[in-house]
Amino acid sequence: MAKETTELTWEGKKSQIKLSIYEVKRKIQKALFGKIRFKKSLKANTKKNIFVWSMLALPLLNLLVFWLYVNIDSILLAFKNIDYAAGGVEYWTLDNFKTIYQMFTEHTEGYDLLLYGANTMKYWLLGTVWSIPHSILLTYVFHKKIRGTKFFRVVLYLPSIIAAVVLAGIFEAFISGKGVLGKILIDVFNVERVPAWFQEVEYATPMLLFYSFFFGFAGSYILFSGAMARISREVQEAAALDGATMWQELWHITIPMMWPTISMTIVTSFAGIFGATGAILLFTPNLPPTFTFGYWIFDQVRRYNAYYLPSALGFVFTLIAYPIVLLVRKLVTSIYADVD
Amino acid sequence: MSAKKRDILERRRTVPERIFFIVAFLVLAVWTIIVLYMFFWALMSAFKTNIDYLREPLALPDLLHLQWENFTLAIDLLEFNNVGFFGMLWNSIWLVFGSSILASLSICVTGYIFAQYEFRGRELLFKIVLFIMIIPIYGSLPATYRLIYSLGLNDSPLYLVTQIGGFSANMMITYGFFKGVPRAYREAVYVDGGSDWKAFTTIGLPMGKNILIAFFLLNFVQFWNDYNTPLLYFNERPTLALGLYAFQQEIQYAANYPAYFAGALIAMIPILLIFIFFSDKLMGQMYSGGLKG
Repeated sequence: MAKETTELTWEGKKSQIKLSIYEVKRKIQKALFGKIRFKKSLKANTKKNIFVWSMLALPLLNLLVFWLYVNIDSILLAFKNIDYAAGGVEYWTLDNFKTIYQMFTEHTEGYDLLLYGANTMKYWLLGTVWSIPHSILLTYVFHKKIRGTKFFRVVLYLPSIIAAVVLAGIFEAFISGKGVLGKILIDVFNVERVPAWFQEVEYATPMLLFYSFFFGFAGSYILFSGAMARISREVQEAAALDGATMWQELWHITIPMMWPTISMTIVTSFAGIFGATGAILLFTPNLPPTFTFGYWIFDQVRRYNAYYLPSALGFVFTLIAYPIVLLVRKLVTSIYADVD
Repeated sequence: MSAKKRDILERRRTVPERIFFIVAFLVLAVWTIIVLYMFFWALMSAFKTNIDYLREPLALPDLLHLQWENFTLAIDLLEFNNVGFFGMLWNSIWLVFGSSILASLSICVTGYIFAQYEFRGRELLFKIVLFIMIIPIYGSLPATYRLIYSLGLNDSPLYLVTQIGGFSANMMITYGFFKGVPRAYREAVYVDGGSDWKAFTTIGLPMGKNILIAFFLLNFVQFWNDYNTPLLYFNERPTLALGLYAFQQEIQYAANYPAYFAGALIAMIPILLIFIFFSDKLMGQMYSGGLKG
């Protein structure tokens, strides 16, 4: 028994040794390969990171300089002004905000912010309250294949690619006293004097709005048509089988299903609520009563190299618009939130 | 689709629906006629003498005496800060081509990287892009203007660096596109011993070719027509759009409309060529809801 035990023990010892050698080998191999693999993956990872960040470097630098720095500087400029008497030294001040308050309350020509605010709202109403429902209807009409859809789509697209300068020049000539509209007004309607539409305050802003309306007729059609085209045919067929009218389909199927695009458009339009510039630069750059907030800022920078007051005004608008945008975003995303 | 299914969607319209569609058709038809007539009228006027134009604005030009001289006159009259037509044309060419290439390429690069790679900081950068999309920042023009001038980028080819955007709302479109490209394609390049750069040039760029071209065309149209940026930053090296803007401002007072229309037509040639040769591509891309590959 004892011999057997000894022999077994010997065999056991042998197998234990074999096992140990194998284990050690395996461990060494594992460690070696593991290490090699680890080294390899580290190298690959570094290479990947170098590639990723070298590809992103220039866009990132651009973002840091022309977005981050610019916006920080823009906020700082709002609290600064310049003392030319002291050799152009910048100093910190809150005076810009006092001036803005005065510009709202005192109606000085060229600095009448209340008037510019009223003009800005007109453009915003045209671009949002009118344009969004109008664009939905227009898209729906094309979606239901009105006669001549293809042709209308091409013409609707034209004002988007033809230079605004060219459009404006043709439009201005067309409606002027020496143009087609002028001729019609004089010969057919016996009008004695055709107004200089863009030089007379009375007509200038309505005409600018009309221009925006007329050449912006396509509105958000381009954006909405894609969203409408993506609505599943099965859903539309199911609605049709249930006997839904077109309006019911539009209201209960189409609008809810393209709501993400519509809501994004609404949010974007609120984000740009104070930014409208219309076609002022094209038609009435020397007529301050037609100015908007956005154009006034542009004009101050371009013509007078004024940085401080326009930055302060921009800062005030950002402070006002930001909560509005967040609120609108919350509201619009809660509508049809359960639609899939 | 079966005929039965088509019938379901194209059922007979009710009376109010029919009235609505007739009204919609008429509105669109009137709008289209006015727009097309306006362009036709401008084209015809470009071939008239100024006297004929002022005397009979609605009349067609004398076909036997088309005023081709208006085009040479326009070339002479188009001038800004002592830079003539051909100088402005050259400025337009390098500025527009450079800007379009850099803007479209950078948007494709960022979209490709975000869609194809996981890396530290990716989520943060993505959130920044979303933040940029919705935050309303006003009044950054003064700071931008000051920066451009203090860096000396105005009137300089170096201005093109401002066009390497990449992080904007458009990135979402290229991101969405490259997200649809299986990562396995890229990994196949590694198996063959290729690098990330090789994967980008042999997989990313060829697959994203259509979206890149579409962005290039859209940017080209936008930059070619842009008079605003040159007005702010390129007064010494004006573009054709800026020259045309100056011309348009002057004709309000000293009108030679036929010459202006001729100049406008010349400036429109590249855009019209793009429209003629790429209209399907351009419109298809835009009308399909943003861009697709």
